[in-house]
Amino acid sequence: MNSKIIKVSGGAFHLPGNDIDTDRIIPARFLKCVTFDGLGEHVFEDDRAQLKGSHSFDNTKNKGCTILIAGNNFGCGSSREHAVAALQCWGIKAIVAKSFAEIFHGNAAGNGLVCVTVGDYDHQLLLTVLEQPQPDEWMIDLQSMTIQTSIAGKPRSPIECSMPESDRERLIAGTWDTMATLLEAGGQIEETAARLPYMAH
Amino acid sequence: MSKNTLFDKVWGLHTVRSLPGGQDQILVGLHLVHEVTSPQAFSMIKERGLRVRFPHRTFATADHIVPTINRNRPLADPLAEEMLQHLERNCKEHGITLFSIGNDNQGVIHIIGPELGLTHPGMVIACGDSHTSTHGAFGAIALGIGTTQVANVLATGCLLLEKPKVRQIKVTGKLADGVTAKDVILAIINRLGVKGGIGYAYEYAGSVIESMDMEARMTLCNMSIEGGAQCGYVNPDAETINYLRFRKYVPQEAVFDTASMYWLKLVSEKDAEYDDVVELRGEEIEPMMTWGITPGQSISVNGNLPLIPKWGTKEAEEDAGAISQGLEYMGFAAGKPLIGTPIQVAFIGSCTNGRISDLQEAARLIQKHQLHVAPGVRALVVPGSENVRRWAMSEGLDKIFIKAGWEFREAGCSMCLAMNPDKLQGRELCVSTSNRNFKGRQGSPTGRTILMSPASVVACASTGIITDVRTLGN
Repeated sequence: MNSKIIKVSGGAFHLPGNDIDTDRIIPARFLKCVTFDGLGEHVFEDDRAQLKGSHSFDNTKNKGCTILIAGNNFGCGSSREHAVAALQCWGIKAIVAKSFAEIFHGNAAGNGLVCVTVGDYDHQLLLTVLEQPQPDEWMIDLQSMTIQTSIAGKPRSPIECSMPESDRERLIAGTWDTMATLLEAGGQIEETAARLPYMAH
Repeated sequence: MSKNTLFDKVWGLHTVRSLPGGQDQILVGLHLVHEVTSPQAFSMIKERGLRVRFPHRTFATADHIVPTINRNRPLADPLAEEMLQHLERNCKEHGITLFSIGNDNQGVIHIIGPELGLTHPGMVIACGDSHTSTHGAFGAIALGIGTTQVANVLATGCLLLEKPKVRQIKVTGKLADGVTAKDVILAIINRLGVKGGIGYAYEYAGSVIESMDMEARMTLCNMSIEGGAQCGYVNPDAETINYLRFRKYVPQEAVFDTASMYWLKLVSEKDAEYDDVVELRGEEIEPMMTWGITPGQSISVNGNLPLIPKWGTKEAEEDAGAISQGLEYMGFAAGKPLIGTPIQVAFIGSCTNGRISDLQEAARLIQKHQLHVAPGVRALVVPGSENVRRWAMSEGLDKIFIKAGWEFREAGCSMCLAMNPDKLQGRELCVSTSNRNFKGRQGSPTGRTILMSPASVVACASTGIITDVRTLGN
């Protein structure tokens, strides 16, 4: 049993751009490891070096934030789960994007990293909130599937967000560890295998 | 919802159970393992006291971190050596067949699976590597997965998945001379976009696909993931059966014939229903090259680089952002031709184009047109497997490459992702047969990649500039 993830609250910040690939999130040279420890400090390492301090992950204002706002097709490319691990090590607990690449999404779901999507219009609204001088902490509520924001203590209308129902149920119930669910099938696994001739070889 | 496609049938056969939330527990019949995404997965199952459920259906190799020269153990890079030792120890402990450095069958996991006959039609195949889609060329559901999922497959032989939609991509007519499977898949990604495939499995069909040999189909399916699709496949046919007959891990003699009949029955039915159908005309596809930082940012070799849209919809603004970012990173000017751009490195290899037919075609062009690598260009041929390497050598291809100024290496992923010593330096521009032109992908944080076919790479390496392979003649 994992911890139940019903709400994620914290500061939010924006990482501009679409198609942010996992090579950018964690460059391949950091994959030479046998554990996921210590990847947080290398998240977006090459992008950050090139932007010389002006990358979202270097902005002191974003330090301690837990919610990342991204664009379309976030996490595309390589299947490396190191990308999810690096973001989590850095402190990210939830990502709000227009869309996610599939393998990244699966990796996130299995590790309790909340990934929700919003439409273009709502995405723009969220960015407008971030541009205000005093945005407060946000809250992503997985029960109502809304993102609640406020500016200088004044709450704004909640914004609807979505995620696959099965992922949502598992996060809320604290059963996002897929291994436990898969093991429940017990002997059904061998029964299915027995029906497939090639499994005997 | 799709119906009666190969995808639907194979998915159904492998469904262990359906869960209330809408996901299916899917049995994985072949699990391929490599050194980069598996050590944490083995630790995860160890922590829970679990064992590998189907060790005889699990096969491993070392490909990502292996050097392509000086492969004596211990490896010069201590981190690479440590990863290799972890893989060796884990495979030994769990009774998994491993093709490590020094084994005759070592190579890039997606090259050796088909080559050894491990990959069959109608299988569900998983590997902790996004290019697992390659195996779809045989009519298998082949899925790239992350490390937690690798642990799931190790311990339970299963994955928890939501069934994707199925899109048929028909390529009709025939291809013009000088146009290859690599150009076809780059054209498809160009048309549908790098996120166009999210939520889909791609079925490739039509006369162009049917007339492709198995290695071309593998190149095609390999890059399905670059189009955002969960996997891609081609329905098996006589070509598939002929490729597999007599391979090491296929059933032999009469059992093979029985298996073949079963495989051919799995093809999508005539009345199959798809969630979407897209059609491309083969004749309209030209040799393609990427110009930017995603595999969707491509043009035909004679085309001009895109202009940056100045105004318009929100979508156009986003396009403008992506275009200007891509051009800026590559150091290219909007609206100008790509042809004639000087290059510094040429790479033939990877799970996309590191097979024997890729090397044969490259060597054929070199020999026929008496080509030599242009001054100032570093050119590398890295066979996809030790079997490919030996085959190439038995035909004397290594000598053709070396005489023409190419280096001929040992098998591995090499400069596709540069986890081994083969890397770009600084801002070098590389013409590459690999699959990703992401920022920094080839080992230098500022290095630049142009993806293209092996034939196009040979043409560019020989002139030192971006060149239309068709100008060489056939």
